[in-house]
Amino acid sequence: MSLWESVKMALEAIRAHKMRSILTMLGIVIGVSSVIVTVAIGQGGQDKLTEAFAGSGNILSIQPSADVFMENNGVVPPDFFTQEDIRGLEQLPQVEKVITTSYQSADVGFKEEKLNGAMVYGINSNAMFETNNREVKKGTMFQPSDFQGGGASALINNKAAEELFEGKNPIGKIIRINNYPLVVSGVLAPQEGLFGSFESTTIYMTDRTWASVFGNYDINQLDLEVKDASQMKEAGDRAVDLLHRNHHTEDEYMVQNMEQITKGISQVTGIMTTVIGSIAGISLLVGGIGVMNIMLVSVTERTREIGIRMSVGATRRNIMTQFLIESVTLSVIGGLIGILLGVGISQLVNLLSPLPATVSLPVGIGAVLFSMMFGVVFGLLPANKASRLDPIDCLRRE
Amino acid sequence: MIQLINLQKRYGTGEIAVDVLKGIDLEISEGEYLSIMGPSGSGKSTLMNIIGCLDRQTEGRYLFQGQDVSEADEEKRARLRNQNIGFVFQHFQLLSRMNARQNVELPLIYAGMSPARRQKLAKEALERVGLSDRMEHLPSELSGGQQQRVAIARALVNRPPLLLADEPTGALDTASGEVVLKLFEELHQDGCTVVMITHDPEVSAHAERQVLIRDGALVEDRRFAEEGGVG
Ligand SMILES: Nc1ncnc2c1ncn2[C@@H]1O[C@H](COP(=O)(O)OP(=O)(O)OP(=O)(O)O)[C@@H](O)[C@H]1O
Ligand SMILES: [Mg+2]
Repeated sequence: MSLWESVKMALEAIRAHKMRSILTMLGIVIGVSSVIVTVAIGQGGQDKLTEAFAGSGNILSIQPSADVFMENNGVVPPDFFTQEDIRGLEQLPQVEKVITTSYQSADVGFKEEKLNGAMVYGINSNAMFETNNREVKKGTMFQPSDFQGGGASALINNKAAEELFEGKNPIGKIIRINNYPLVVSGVLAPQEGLFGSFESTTIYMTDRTWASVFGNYDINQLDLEVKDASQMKEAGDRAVDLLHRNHHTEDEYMVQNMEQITKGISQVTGIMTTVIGSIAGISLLVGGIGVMNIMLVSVTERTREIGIRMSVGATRRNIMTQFLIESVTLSVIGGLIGILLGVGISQLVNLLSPLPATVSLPVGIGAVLFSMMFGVVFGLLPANKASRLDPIDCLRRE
Repeated sequence: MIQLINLQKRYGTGEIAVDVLKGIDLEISEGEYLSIMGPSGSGKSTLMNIIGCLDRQTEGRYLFQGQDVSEADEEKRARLRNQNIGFVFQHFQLLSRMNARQNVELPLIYAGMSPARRQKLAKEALERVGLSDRMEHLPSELSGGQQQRVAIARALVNRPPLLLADEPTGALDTASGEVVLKLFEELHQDGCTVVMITHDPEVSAHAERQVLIRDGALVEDRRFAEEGGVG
């Protein structure tokens, strides 16, 4: 008898007891779907947190050591990164781009309006916007030419636009920082995601413009975009070496590895997912026991059938296989329905709540394999019982 | 074809042991039509289950076509039931969820036959027992006599050399019983060995040879002349 025929036979048996089969599957359906939903929410949460903390791409951050930070009251000292450092770092073969950021809080004025304590950023590329997926909702982004020349334009975020212009179109208007006039060239769309609501009033300009406005080239943050993810460690080591040589020190520079942050996040969310996932797993277990229970009932109910099959030449193995395939089929159908339900619920969670839910393919495949395994494990006892029955006793049943 | 030597069957052990078969010696040749008679509880069904490889004796030897099948393993005995033995029971023993054709196909499934070939053979067998117009009916939609004919079709579909029937007419009216006996007669004419248990002397008279069992022992073994079989 071919496997397909056995499965067909199992499907017929399942169909013959529709109500009972559905109730049996229900346990597996609920178990599988709840595992999928919890893992999806856990995975989604992890993705979101990781993205929020670490952004994406092969970015390394160079930072002062803890001692230097302490000595300078938690800020990066003014000459910590120099233009010479930047040129040196750009020469490193592993480095694609050196991303510098300068920031300082300052008052911003528009006509009679005045905004106190806005964050003013000077940046040497659009990398910061790219990694955070930020776009302008009005006006234009900085163009490559903006970073070459010293045009006095500024991007403002949504919050700054609201507070300074109160609904009027800010594009082309002139704002003042330190009495230096800047043309507003674009307004950034509000930041999406977890930290969007914490965004403060922010103005962005190119590093050259920033130097003109504040009269210095101080860099507060230096990131390296590495060419290949496999070169992260090497790039970090060489960058720190170079900086130590330039500044004649041995321990003031260090790489802040995003990997560590990411690892930390996945550890936390991983623990959460495991805990909730195991609770969901228990319901899967209960579902499996339900399958076993019903299969045992089914064996008892069908002893006469077993006797008849044996009398026409079914071996004990045939009987065993028949019941095993039946329980596997039952579990797998339950598992597939569970996956559909789980994916559906995950999408609903995505749609209706701020919790992101990411269903991953491995989890789906795992769920199918798992329910298949459940079918075997929980079908084994009933199938074994069926195969050990005495055909004469079976035939005597009415 | 069948050789039983001092065959014994005991249920239970020690004080409560019951000897159901107490040393049966019986030889059945190829192509014989044999009936087994005896009072209720005398051990007829027990004997037939052993012959049909559904059960094993506790003492003595059972040779089927010269081979000691009580020594054989489960696989081999299952194959023997599948290929060499057809059963007909008093209560038909059809699978209620399957229609007539599917019931008849059952032995062929375990013989490893392809679905197309199975269908063809099952249809032929059902035609042979006169049920060509009832192939897709469920057992519950058939009369007792028709159900027994389906069971006979199932027993003969694999063309086994031995047919075992345990009170095949016991649950049927006289007319239906006649149809069943006529089918057995035809099978016998085709060379099939038929062993039939019955309570009814008239039914038993259809056989060529009558064996009487009483209290687990063979007490009579009569052969009729060829023409005496019917009468
Ligand atoms: N599993 C068993 N355990 C104990 N005793 C058994 C068992 N099976 C059968 N017997 C006994 O064996 C004896 C013979 O039973 P069997 O079914 O062979 O009789 P039979 O001749 O076929 O009777 P009937 O004509 O009523 O069908 C009976 O006394 C029965 O009680
Ligand atoms: Mg009996």
